[in-house]
Amino acid sequence: MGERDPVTTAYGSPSASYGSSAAYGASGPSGLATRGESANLADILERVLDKGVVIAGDIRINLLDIELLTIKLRLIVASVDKAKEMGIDWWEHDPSLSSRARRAPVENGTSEEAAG
Amino acid sequence: MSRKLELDQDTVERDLMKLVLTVVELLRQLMERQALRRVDQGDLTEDQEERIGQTLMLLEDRMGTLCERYGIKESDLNLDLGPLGPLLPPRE
Amino acid sequence: MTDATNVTDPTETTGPTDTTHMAEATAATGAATAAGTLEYAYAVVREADTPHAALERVRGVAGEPVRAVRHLGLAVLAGPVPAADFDEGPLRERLEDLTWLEGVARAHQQVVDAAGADTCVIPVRMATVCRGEEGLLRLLASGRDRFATALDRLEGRVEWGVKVYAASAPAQEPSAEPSAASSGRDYLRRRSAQRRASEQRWEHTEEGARRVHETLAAVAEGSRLHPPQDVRLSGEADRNVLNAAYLIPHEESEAFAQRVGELAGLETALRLELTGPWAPYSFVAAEGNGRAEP
Repeated sequence: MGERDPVTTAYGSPSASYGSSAAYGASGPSGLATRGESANLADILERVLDKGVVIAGDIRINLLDIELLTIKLRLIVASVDKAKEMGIDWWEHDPSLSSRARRAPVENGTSEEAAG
Repeated sequence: MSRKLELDQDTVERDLMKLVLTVVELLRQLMERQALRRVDQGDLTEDQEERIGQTLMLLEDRMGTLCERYGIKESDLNLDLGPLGPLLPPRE
Repeated sequence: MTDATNVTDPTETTGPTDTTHMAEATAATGAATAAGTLEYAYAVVREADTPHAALERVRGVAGEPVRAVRHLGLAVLAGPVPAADFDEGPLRERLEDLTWLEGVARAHQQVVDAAGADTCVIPVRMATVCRGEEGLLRLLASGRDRFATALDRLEGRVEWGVKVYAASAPAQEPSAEPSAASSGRDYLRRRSAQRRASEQRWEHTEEGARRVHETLAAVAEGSRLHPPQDVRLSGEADRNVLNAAYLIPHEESEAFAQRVGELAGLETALRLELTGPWAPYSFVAAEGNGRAEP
């Protein structure tokens, strides 16, 4: 809370602050607070590891085959899709048992239309 | 390295208890949900409801006691099933 | 592990060795380097838009300088990396090391985003490694059309990330201790009420998250939903209920951030977090959230 002044630091010159982040808390008087640190690891991994253009390099590494990525990261980054793909997220179908955070809260209907 | 064969009795027992309690907790949650649904549907007699309620209440109470005795937190009661996610849904 | 006595790799040799053997080894290594230096690719840009200034500032995943390799009107930003870490076998092993992985991920992101601050970049997925400059040229040639299309589509756009968290649970509902129930039926009633309450809280949270997403998606050129983040990676205590990315024209970034701020004021049950601007990682694939395969 002590470090307010978000609009100028975080958005004033966007190009100068790549990867920075700002948090809007529900509780603060202005509802605004900044976090100085760079983006968290999850933010970065879901972009550099999971997104970006996939082209065949000469070194063939199937990231999904990497054990660590499978066990620790891929599940953490993308557990929902995986479990759903496999049709095993059984508690999702039980409303009283639903673990909501495990699924995207909004239908994908409107979300996938990228420009172009 | 440092974890070599520190199989002291307490650790083994505690881990085993954790596993057992996790399974019991899973069953408990499933039974409770099933019970609540049946109650909502209204196809149980008052007497049946009372007995089921008593059982679940007792079970929850015992779970608490056992967890306490073995120094296990309720949030410890889960299993990471890899691609399937955690065994128990996150607590609300 | 392999039995050292059966291994003829000269680098394994310890103690005094005959000099001809040494010379052979050096020659072999030298030849390998010339023919097959490994090049780590970060991003693709238009040749004309090569971000020279940014390239001078940044270092790559192995601390190496990053340069632009030009071909067919495009340029790939890349840097030479040591085979000891990035050849197929070692890379596979290294990727198992979370600390190493994190270092590479952060360095990769820094290169991409530094370059992206000045120009339109198409981020390449992490751990894309080519053999020598020829490999990079092949990469540009084979992906030429896709790169050109993506560059046209993403020119002047940046990605902003918005995450919504359920604000910390309301000081644990007082009825959270049902053990005080007087009877079995009473117990069931309490549990049922608790469930409903928590269901309702979730509904409100989800409705809020939906409103946030709909509002922002309406002003954005594109949006993508990522799976909610896991606490183990994000370190956030609150549950992540929306993890979205929005494609925004560069000059509208400030207005977008302001909109997020307004939403944060309206949705008091939620905590919003804005990250960015990022290079348009999430929007490289044209449609769906699928990735463009080679």
